[in-house]
Amino acid sequence: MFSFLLLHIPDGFLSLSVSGCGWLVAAAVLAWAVRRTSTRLGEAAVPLVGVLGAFIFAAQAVNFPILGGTSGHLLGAALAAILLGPWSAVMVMTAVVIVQAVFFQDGGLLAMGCNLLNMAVLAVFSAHVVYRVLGRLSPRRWWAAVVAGWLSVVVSAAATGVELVWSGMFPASLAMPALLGVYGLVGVAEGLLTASAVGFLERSRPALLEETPLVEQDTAASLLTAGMTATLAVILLAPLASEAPDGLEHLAEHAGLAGTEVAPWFEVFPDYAIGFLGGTPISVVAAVAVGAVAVFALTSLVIRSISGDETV
Amino acid sequence: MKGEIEICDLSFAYPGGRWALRSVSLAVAGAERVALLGANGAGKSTLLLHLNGLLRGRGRLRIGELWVQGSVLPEIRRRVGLVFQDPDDQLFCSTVEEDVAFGPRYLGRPEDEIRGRTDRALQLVGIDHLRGRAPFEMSEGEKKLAALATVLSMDPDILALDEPTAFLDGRSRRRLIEVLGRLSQTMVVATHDLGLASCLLPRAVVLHEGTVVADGLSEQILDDEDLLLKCGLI
Amino acid sequence: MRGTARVRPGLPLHPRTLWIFALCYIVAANLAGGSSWWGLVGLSFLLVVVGWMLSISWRKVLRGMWIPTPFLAAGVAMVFTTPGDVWFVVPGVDLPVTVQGGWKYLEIAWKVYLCWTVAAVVFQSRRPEEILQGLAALRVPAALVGILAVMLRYLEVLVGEGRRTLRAKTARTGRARLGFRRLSRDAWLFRVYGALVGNLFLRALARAQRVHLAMLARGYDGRLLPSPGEGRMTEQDWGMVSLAVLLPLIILLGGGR
Repeated sequence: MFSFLLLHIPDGFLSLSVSGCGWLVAAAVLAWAVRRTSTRLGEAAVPLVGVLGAFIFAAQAVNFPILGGTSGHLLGAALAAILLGPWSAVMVMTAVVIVQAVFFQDGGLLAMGCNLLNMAVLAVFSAHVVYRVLGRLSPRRWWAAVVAGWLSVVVSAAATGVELVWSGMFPASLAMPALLGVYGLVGVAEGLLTASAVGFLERSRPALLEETPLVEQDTAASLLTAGMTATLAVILLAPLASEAPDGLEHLAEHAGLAGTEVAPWFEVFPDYAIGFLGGTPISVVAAVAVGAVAVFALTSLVIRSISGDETV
Repeated sequence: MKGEIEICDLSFAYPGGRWALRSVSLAVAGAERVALLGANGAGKSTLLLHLNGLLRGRGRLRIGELWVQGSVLPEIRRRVGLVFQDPDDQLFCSTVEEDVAFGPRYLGRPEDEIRGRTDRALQLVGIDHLRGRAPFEMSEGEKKLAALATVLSMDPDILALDEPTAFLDGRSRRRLIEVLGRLSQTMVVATHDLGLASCLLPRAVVLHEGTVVADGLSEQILDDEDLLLKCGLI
Repeated sequence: MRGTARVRPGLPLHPRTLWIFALCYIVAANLAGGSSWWGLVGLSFLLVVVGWMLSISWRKVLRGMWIPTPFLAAGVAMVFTTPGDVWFVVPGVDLPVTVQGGWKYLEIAWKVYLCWTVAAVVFQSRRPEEILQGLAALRVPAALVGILAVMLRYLEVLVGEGRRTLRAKTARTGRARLGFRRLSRDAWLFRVYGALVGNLFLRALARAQRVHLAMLARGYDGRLLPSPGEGRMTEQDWGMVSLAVLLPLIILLGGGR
């Protein structure tokens, strides 16, 4: 039976630099998740997260035949995010990815950083954000769960594609449409399964989704997480930005003004590249990341000075 | 005082408002063996969870000379060994030996003492040969004995057992009863197994809808068909 | 997963050593290839030797080698997309296979199987709890190691519960297997699977709360105590670690990338 979820990248496909970047980001998020979960759950963290990690693994183990010869199964990131909140879900999915890689050799060790980033971070936060935002629009949240489940798979697949492209495995023009096309369909099954599980719980234990101590209700934290997830996605996708002229450049060319612009009197990262890293994807990512951090810091400073709120 | 239990007017309601215990009062002497009888939902397991402070209801509860309160919970949990109904809940380490050593390790005992306690507990229940096994490799009966060993290694004064013979075949049940019969601790056993009560537990306390409706010699209570019928025990 | 795949006692290396070796080996494998195919040959030979030293069952290892194959199958596209000299054109679809693409795919496939196999050899030579001890010895956060230990313990329990529930549900439909034969007619099966997963979650949550209580009942207070017998590094451990650290350097010096 050919299992339809191929998101566990084995070692040998990703370059060392991409693997290293994946590990850096994943380790940072994981460290924060360990801290948040330990603070919120206290001594219950280990047994609760451990057993619920086994639940996600068991839910993934339920293979259902789709079309003759193929089978599908849950990724579970969206379900974990909806039922447990983002940080506990990150911990749970991290445990799942590690166990799959180490004890079942499904996914690499060096590639684990990227696998964690794709399935335990990006998939979880994208699902969480979508579910929280769309769930507020209607009391019947099942359709928010469908979109959350679908998006978790698509985002995970897109991130996998970006990492493979950066590693020089495939051109973006092939990898991205192929992955997004296939996983756009696979994600529908994930969305429907997620929604039906959430719907079952809403019918049978409606209080559970509100009262479970694992679910985080902090709206400010959710919005901050949403923003940071979106920013991270933009940073990682920056090297894939189109090189075609943007609207202003196109207009300038059309009006015959191209080339008449005055050069800036200083440049920090000309053309979104860091000098000593050259025009590599890593250089673009680093430049965009530095810019994002600078904007975030400046915005925080301005808001703090206006509101006088030390918590911003 | 060692091994004594005193429960004074204990009441407890679960979130959602269901009262599981209503004004339960009970006294158990040191080394006494008591069967806690009652139908499903009578409050037996809830009462057991109060004995080592996992649940805290209204009322007062004394273990030995200590009244159960937050500051003495570690010592209370050392004195009261609670054996859960499902041994899979209790055997949460990768091997039996690790599980049995868990309690003494958390008590902060030195390594050689931990090893000694582990060996003694395993030998007492007769599963020394299973020390390296993983829980899933064992039968239900072996898991029950292992779960018992995990609390015996803490050298408790009181054993609280929740349905110890549930899901056991005849041979495993006999073996467990034999092991329990050799122990000297105070014993409170929540059970539906009337045979266990009659052969091992001289005193019976019957719970019905969260209150104590009978307390006396097991022999007499188990002969009272009307009472057993009313309480859903037969 | 449970138990070791050994046929005779293997080299008694500390689990921490095995982790270091696996990671360094994988780095070396990633660096090898390009102009230094000898590096891949040498790593292959080393893997066989290490497998023999650890006394693993090659039959068991080889049985699992299908795991990275689907990813490799999807990766065959690189023989068409890698620019270079055309080797042949696939008839019917007119897709040119390039020489460079072919070599690249062969190299990737070799590396993938080397990396997969070293992880299988190393991690199947020890019990899972020993592997986790190795992680703890490498100073991975104790909370994460504790979570992995609990998760491993309850994997079989929950997978078993899931399979039993699926079997029970399947029996009530009168079918041999629950599957989508025609999506329009069988869409209701999503509700069945959703209920199955939802039920499993409720049971898992209840189990988690009971396990938490059982841990508290035996004195657990959130502290994660180091497991005993972390063990000192023996001469064999240091020898293996030295070899492991040298591997990527040797490959790099020999022309790897």
